[in-house]
Amino acid sequence: MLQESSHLSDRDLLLWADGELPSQRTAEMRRHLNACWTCRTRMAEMEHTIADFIQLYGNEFQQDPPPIEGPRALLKARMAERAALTAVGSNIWFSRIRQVLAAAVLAALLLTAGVAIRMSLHGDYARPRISAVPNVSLTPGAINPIGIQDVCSASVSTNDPAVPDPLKREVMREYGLHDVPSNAYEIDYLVTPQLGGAADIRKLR
Amino acid sequence: MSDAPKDSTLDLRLLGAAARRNPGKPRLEEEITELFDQWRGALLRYLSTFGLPQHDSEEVVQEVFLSLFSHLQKGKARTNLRGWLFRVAHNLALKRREADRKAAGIAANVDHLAHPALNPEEELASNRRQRQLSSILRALPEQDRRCLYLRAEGLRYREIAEVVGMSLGSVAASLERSLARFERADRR
Repeated sequence: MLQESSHLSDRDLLLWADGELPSQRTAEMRRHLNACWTCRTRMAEMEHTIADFIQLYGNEFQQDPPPIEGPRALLKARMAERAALTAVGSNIWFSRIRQVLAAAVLAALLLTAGVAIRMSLHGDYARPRISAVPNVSLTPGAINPIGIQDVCSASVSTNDPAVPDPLKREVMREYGLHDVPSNAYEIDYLVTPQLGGAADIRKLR
Repeated sequence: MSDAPKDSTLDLRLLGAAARRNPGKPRLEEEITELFDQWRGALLRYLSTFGLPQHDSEEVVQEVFLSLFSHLQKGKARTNLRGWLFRVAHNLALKRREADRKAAGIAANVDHLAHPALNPEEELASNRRQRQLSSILRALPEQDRRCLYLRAEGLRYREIAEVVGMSLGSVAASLERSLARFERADRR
């Protein structure tokens, strides 16, 4: 709170005149200035000095700038040029991104192809191409001669008998499957034994 | 002194109005052109206080607005564009003046007030008080002069502080000190 008896400092007067004080302080100063002729006179002196400086500033430094049309047109042209350069830069950037992506896709494809070739040539994946269809020369289908009574007999099981492991391995060897576990493939009868198929390597596939 | 809007919020209204008037044109270029029309005169006047030739001042103004174009293109802050413009102009002018001084072989620490030479007629026309104030102005430290010039262009203390790189309190102290020196001239 300002004391009525004390006068305002030049700093306060300047800040007040320039609107740089908080609103509460501004209101206090206004009340003081309304009451204090001394501070109002001092304020007027400062305003007079400011007015003199403004006149000096106006006299010493350029007041009427040259016509604006030329500089404005130049600025517009420069902005257009800069915008175009930015757009070209963006296009180049996106073009580079596309090139990099294309190269990455190509590299991935080549890598995949290389891995596939390697897998087909080496390791556990080096397996001969095997047809799902039994090879007729290897599995001609050996049979036992049986009659209708044998087929319709109640004692005949509906399940195929299990193929012994040694026989499985022999079958796989004939099909070119070397060093492969016997349970890696399912070995079935070409002619199920219930219908007269023989437990002979020639009818297994 | 400043005939441009005092409040930088007007800049933002201006930007919006420009966009509405010319919806088909590139919006940013239009905004920058509007600001150029609004602030070029004040910036040229402020730049002339650095003693730059007219052509150089005009070129600095171009650089300022191209910088603003890049600034806004990058989506950077639009707050207090007036302070931003004066700050960039101030820094560019200092650089250019420094380059000119080096080219002319003048020591960088010699502070020259930009003061156009008065011809005899102007000398006669200028009254005694103005000449006194002019000599006092030339004797002030450059930072104090900068504060006066920027205040004359309507910048708030906060904006002046940002342009010249001083604290808010230092700006107030500088202005008070300069006015006191002018007043002492009256009493002589």
